Amino acid sequence: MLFSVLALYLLAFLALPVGAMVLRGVTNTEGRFSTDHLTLLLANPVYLESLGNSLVVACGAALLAALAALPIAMLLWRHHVRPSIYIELCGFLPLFVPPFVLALSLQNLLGRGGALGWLLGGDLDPAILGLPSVMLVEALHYFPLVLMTLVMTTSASSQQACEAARLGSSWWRLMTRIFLPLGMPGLAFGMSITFLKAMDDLATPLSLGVTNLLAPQAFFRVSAYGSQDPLSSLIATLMVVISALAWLASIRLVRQHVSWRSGAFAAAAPSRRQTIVGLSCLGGIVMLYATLYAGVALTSIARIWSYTLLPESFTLSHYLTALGDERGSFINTLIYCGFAAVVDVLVGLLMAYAIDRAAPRWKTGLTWAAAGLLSVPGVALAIAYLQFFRVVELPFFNQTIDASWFMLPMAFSVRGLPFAIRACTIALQRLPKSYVDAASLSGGSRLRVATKIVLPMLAFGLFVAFLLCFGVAAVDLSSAMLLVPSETDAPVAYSIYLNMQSTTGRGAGSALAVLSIALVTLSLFVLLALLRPKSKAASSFRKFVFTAS
Amino acid sequence: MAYIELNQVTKRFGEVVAVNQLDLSIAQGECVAMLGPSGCGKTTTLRMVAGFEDLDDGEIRVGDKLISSKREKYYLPPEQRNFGMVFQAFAVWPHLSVFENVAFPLRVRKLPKAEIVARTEEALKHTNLLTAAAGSPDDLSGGGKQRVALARALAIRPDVMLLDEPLSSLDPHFREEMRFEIKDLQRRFGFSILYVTHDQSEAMALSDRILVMRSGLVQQVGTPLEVYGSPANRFVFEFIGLSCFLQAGLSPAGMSIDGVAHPWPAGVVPPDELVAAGSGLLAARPTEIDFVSERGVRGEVVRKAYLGETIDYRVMVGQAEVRVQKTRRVAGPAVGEFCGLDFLRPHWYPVD
Amino acid sequence: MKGNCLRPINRSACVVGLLLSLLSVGVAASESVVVASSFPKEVLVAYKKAFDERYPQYRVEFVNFPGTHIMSYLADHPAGSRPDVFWSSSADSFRALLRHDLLQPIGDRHETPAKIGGVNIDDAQGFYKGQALSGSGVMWNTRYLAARSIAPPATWSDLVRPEYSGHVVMSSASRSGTTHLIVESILQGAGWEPGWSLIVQIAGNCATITDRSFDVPNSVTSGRFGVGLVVDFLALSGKYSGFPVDFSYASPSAIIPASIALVAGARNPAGGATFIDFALSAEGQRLLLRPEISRLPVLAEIYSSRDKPADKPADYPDLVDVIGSNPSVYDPDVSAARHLVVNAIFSQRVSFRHRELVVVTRAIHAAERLLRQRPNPQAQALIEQARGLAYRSGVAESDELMSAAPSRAQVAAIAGREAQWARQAGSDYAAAKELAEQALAMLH
Repeated sequence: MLFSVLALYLLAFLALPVGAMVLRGVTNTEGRFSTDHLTLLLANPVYLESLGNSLVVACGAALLAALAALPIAMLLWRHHVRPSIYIELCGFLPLFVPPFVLALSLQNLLGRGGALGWLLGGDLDPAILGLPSVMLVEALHYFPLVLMTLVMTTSASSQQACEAARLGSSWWRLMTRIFLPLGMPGLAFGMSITFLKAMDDLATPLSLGVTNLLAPQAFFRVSAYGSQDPLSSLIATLMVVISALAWLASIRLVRQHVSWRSGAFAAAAPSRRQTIVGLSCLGGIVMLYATLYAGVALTSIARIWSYTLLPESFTLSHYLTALGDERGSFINTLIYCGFAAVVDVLVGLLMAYAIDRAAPRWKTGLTWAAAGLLSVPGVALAIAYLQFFRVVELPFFNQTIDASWFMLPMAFSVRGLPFAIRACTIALQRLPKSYVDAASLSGGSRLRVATKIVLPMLAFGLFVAFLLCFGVAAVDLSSAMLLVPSETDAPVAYSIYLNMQSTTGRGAGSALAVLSIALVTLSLFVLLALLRPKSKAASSFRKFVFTAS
Repeated sequence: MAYIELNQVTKRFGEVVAVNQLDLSIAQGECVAMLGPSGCGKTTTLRMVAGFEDLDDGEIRVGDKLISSKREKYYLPPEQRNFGMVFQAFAVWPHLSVFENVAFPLRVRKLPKAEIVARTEEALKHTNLLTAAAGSPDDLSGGGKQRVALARALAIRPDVMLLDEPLSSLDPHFREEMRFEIKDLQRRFGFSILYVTHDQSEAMALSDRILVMRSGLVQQVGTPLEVYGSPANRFVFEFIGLSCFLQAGLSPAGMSIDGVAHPWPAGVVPPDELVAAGSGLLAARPTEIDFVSERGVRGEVVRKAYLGETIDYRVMVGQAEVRVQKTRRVAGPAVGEFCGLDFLRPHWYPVD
Repeated sequence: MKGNCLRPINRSACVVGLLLSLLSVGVAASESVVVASSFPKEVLVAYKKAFDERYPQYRVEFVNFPGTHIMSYLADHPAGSRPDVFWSSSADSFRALLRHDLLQPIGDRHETPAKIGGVNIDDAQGFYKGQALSGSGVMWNTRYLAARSIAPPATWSDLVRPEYSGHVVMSSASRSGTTHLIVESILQGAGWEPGWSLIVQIAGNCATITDRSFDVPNSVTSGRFGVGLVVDFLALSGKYSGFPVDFSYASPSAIIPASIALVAGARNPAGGATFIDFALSAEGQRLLLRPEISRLPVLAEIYSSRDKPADKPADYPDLVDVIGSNPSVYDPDVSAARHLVVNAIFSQRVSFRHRELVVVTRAIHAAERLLRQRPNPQAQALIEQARGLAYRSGVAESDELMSAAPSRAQVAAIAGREAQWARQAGSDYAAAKELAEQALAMLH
């Protein structure tokens, strides 16, 4: 019964809409298979260029982030610097902050209007640089994620590696022979997330005025010609295929076994010099990001800032506006993302259970498929929904689904599902079968066993899953931009985007961005504080990233 | 008098027969160990007794009460069987205190408050946990957690205690201690034990009888001495204690190993039916082989290792390796020397 | 320990409870009026606050997208699930909606004039009414231009001058209704080919083509760029909020009413009509004068009201002056018929090819600078040839696509032609660059 609900959910909100979208792209008006649309797509050099640009931006962002992260991670590793769990957690902030905020911040910093750009003449304005700046923004945004996943995978075996290093290997040899193989799972994970997110990102290129990428082109076609446009289906299909291929490639690398032997590192207490190197390195990165986001932070407190180094007058009124007029968007975010996260936890738990109990030959396939959900880009999913649910009436509400906000949390939930499955799998692993057997042998009824033993033992894992899905949904602007039915229904991330567009709203938009970044950071740390007494918080957090797939 | 009785108990998982027509009876207060390699069906049997698995055939009785029967389509759910069970993974709930862990089964049974406290404390006292009662089981060592699990099983005053590899997650020095504690508790409370393990020394030390299983089939049931001294087949011989085997062609004059003829050693009398068949498998314990100067099976010493009190020899006889263990007080051959081997209490099995 | 472990459960229970209560609030609320509009957030927020307060039985919700997309949006939605009101400055969209029977009449109970000067404010058949007037022009950042000693532009043709290269910013016609209006009024005022030439030359001087209209005034007020092509209120709101920007109406520029209409097949027609009445009332008109909105009301009494002089900045443009100084040549029917085609040409020749266009423009400017110092007829011919290739539409005004009624078939036909235009643009820019470089080499 439960599993048929699960199948229904996957069918209705993933398989059918995406399938229908793919079909629409490859059939003609009579419903027969045809390559007409494909020919049309290939005939227009703009689409080909967009395809190339998207690949360049996504690959370039992943590579740039990796190239920047490798030497720093190597330095930390050589000096046995193990960042505290709080810093490791900061590496995951990019997942919960939309990258276009960084793009706008850089425009304020490097554009001719103020700050550095005012001093330098402004030819570094990201909007003037175009494509390379999209790549750079994505790379900068996801660099902490790549760095921290790399640090996490390598530091586990830092002790043994230290012995090897003492044997006098050269720097290069150490890097290629020991460091890279050790860090490969983390590197591959971080890079593939960067690739997928950069490919899917809509708000960043639009903020930078870059149109010749797949996501904006699909978005333009839908908004100019309506959701039934077959070319947009085809572009979206293309994005799904590319993302899926990238994900499959990375899975081969991530699946290498990583062992988390706790304590392996603790044996070697870093020396004073090593601590200084590590702290200054991490401190430098923190300073860099503080600078990068200064553009937004300054705008949020500037009354008038026009063609001067720093704002000429300051005000806190933007924060009042953000908290006052935009309260609705916070509530919207709470509703959509909460709804999505609840669906995610329920579905994720069921799927994790199903995968756990599945026959071995199905298991791998199921796990891969679940992880592969990551590779359905938000833009593609949104287009699929717009096409599929166009004429479906919502019961009780007397309106079609696409005019309501209902599609949004469902899209969010599908996008958050891979994370939910992962978190729930780990939650289930903390509840071996014998723990339940022991309880039922004790004579408890099913209900009693469920409420007194199973739920309390799972609660924490499910809570983590909930928060994670909530956070992922909160920044999913790619689907939100297409699916938000009205401005009053916009979640915070979209409100930031809308506000940032207007002269007088820029301050409020920036204030909103600063508030939400602060909120995300705060909730991550609260989560950690909750984890702490549970012992081995750190290892379970690390495990979350690298096991179960 | 048989207290627990398993008759023709069978369990299939798809094509695989996990337990095949198993018969076993356990007397009141008796401890029976089920021994075998992983996947032999011993845990499945235990789970059928506990009630976590239904039978595909046969029946299980406790006392004169039927608890599981395929034929009569009868199945008593686990919580009504009044069995205590201890799991390999401890299965101590981390979100409840030690006291609450032990009291949980009693609370579920809705006993009066005072009795719950009294029985829990009694169980904690016997497992030396009274001082840790208020704490979390996560603060205890593996042995401590296993004692909580034992106390929880004890609290319901079970008729039968089911132990599923209870010691294999523990550090070696704890294992011995826990063996004695379990034995002690059994003496005090008089319950029967069905004990599943893959560790033969544990089975020998704890149990009154051992049941050796392989691929769902019972190989032998007997006292530890019987199982060790007269193994029913090659599998049992190999599974319990150290062993070595020589496959030989047999004739009244002697035996041939890998084409080389050896005279019958002094202590060896081959069974007539194997001599008639022309071949057989000689099985011996390494401690029950002597070096002799004449009339032995000839072999070359290829390795010699000092294990403290004993010396471990590897002797190649043709292609087969024979392991010999002698106390260091007996002078043995050096590496590279040829020697003769005599077998003191050899067992003969037909060649598979 | 026990309490400690239970904490997360209670918290998640709280979160779930909170969510459920929020959901129930979301479901049970006052009747909503859905207004589709392309206006910036300030306008919408001000009207929402005032309207919700005035009519507590209703609650306004806004659907925000560029006016250009209302057609595809409504075509996607069956009657009964559409927004109630459409409110936009895109006259083309209103005409398109009217043609597809997607509007319903709103009656004649309003005090706003039907005609001011030579400009029609209301639809003759009474399907949509003018709510505010707007004209377009150039805005500039005074500090930015002063720092570079560039003179402020007066009109469109000023913007093609080489000193503006890299300092201009405009939006895309297909993404912004007001930009489409600017493009179309230049096309109608200057003629098809000369118009395109002017537009493409200006675009060649642009630092970037922004995705939405608002990015233009935004980047000019912040001083990221010097000059922007905008509709008046986007510039004026910055000016009256204290930013160092100024604005000048440019010619040819269409003075166009921002209109408001009731959508046919609306979910809540009564609420929609109430909102329209409010927007056209004196109270609703007065909201337009707020500094962050800065639009021209159509109700004359708002300008002359002596009782509230503080409402309006001293140098606020006057309705009569604006109308009088800008004789309109704008024919909305022509515009509506070629709406999709003009957008598609702009996208394929400008938005998606902007990089190449900038490179060509720079090369031409460089060659011309040298040409002024060392006249050379041969080089001049090459430059003329380059200009001819780079600054053209590539589509004849008489093209059959231009007069066809927008339909699925036309969309499909445009998609086929788009590919051709895109290739043409690519090869035009490559050839023009080649020619300009030849001229440059000749002049060295």
